[in-house]
Amino acid sequence: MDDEKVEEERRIPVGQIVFDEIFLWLLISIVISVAFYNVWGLFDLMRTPPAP
Amino acid sequence: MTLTSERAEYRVCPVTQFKVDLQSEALIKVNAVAAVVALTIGGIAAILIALTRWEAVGLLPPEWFYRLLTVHGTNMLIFWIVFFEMAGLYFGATILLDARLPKPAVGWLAFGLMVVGALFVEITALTGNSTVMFTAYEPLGSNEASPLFYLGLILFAVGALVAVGLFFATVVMARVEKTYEGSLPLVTYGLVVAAIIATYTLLSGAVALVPPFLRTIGIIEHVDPAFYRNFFWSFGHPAQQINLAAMVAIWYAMGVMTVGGSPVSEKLSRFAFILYVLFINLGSAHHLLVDPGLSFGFKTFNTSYGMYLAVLGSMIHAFSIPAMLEVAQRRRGFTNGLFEWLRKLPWREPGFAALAVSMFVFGWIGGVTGVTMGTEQIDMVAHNTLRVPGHFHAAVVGGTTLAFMGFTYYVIPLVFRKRVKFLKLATWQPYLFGLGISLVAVGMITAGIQGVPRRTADIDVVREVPGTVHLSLAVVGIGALIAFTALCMYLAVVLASVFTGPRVEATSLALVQPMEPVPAAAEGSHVAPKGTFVIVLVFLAFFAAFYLANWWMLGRTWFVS
Repeated sequence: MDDEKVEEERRIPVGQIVFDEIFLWLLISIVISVAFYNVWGLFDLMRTPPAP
Repeated sequence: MTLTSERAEYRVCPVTQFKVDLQSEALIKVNAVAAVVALTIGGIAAILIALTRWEAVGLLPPEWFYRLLTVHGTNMLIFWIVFFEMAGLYFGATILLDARLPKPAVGWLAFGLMVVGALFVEITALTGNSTVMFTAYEPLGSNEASPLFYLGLILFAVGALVAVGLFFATVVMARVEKTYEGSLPLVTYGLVVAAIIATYTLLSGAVALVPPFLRTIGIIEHVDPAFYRNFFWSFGHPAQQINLAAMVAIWYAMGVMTVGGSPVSEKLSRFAFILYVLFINLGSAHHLLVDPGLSFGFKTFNTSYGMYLAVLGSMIHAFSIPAMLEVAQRRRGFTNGLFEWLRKLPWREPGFAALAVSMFVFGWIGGVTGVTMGTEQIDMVAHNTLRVPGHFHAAVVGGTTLAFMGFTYYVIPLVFRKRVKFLKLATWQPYLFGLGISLVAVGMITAGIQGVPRRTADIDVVREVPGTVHLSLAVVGIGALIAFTALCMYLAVVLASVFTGPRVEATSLALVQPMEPVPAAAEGSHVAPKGTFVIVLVFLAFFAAFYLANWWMLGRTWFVS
């Protein structure tokens, strides 16, 4: 019983595990920035008709 | 004491007991020195520019104004800040994690690339061969900027990217070699966030600057201005968000070093950093709010819905850091009323002074004006006026630069192992610098509200401006003189301390006003940061009033019948 308790205390919370995944955040950060800023912006520009 | 392992040579810091990899320490030193050199060049350019925009002085002819504006922008927004951040990354990955630097030669290669790149830019800009300003907006003629200008920026970005890669490798290796337990320390975590933002920023920089470089050497004929602006601003704006993340990490560090205590909720602080990771780069769209061809959805989502989540991150830090200080003070027994803890803070300690002043100038002037101008409708009257540099001088100079300056005073004894000289100058410097840069920012903002454009040597391009504009521009000039004096004080302290006197080991973290440690019995006791809560409410009221006043002013500009 005591061992179980110690094990439970040692268990790292899921949130902390996720926060510690720095390369996951690197990937998500680049995907969000590229998709919403670069790609969306370039898509808008490509749809703009050339000046007459 | 020097320790040698199979793979690295260390010394043990007598104050912090951290193991310091000597190769990493050397890289911290050279990057910090390069940063201060860039700050000096950019600062000299700054005072000359400010005394030109002060109409009553009108110091420089237009040609030199634009030349020095290029020098000022590239040195202050790129070289000073990024060199200092590289020093910060080596510090956070090796010293704070008790880790070794896996490949020091890679760090030296990165530094070499950055120095060569910076030199190319300095030489071409100072000799008038690249008077294109920080933005170098396309379209430009084939002779308007030297290929070396673009090559310099590309080399600098590649060098910084290599250093960021080395930082990630060091963090991974520290985890593998189990030099730290559990999660990364919060300060290192903040620097990881800075490195994540830096990766996107520097890659964008390469994408933006390679086509103009190819144009200058005749390989391509034309660079699309709108495409260039998209990629340039995913370099130019996030470059300042690297600063933001590094600055916040340094705020936490300086709070702990000068006042003690620990963050009230690491979970909350890390969540705020994650908000930066996810959303802060979207703020780049602020620069494109008046660009044709971009949809309302693109502009509004990026600058409002996305960006406001990153602003939420800043507001969490703006609560967490003072709350950390208040809790530490209340545990020391400063519990009278709402603000005894505030009065008893170490206001004479240079690091604390820099922390307090930079938080104030960054939040109350830089943050509030930035969010307000980032609103699309308000931006229609603010864009390309002096309000914009007013905002970012408060954020980048009053916030980041001052925080980095304050941190330098502790790098001198702990890393350079030299005694800090002229401590009185160091104590007063953050206050004087904060005052000067606040005047610069407020002068620019009020001049911009009255219609004064940015990036011009004089105001002749505007047909009609009210006479009060001259008062605003005088405030900019006076503020610049005060800030430049404070910059000279900083340089005097740093140069005299680093380059003269014998090497001595530090004996304490505090330089002027050490604080009693927080009593062990009080650690962990529940303390409500009530004073901080009141300060935050006052800040929010000020924020709302400023924001609404801008809508009111907009309503006086455009009458809708």
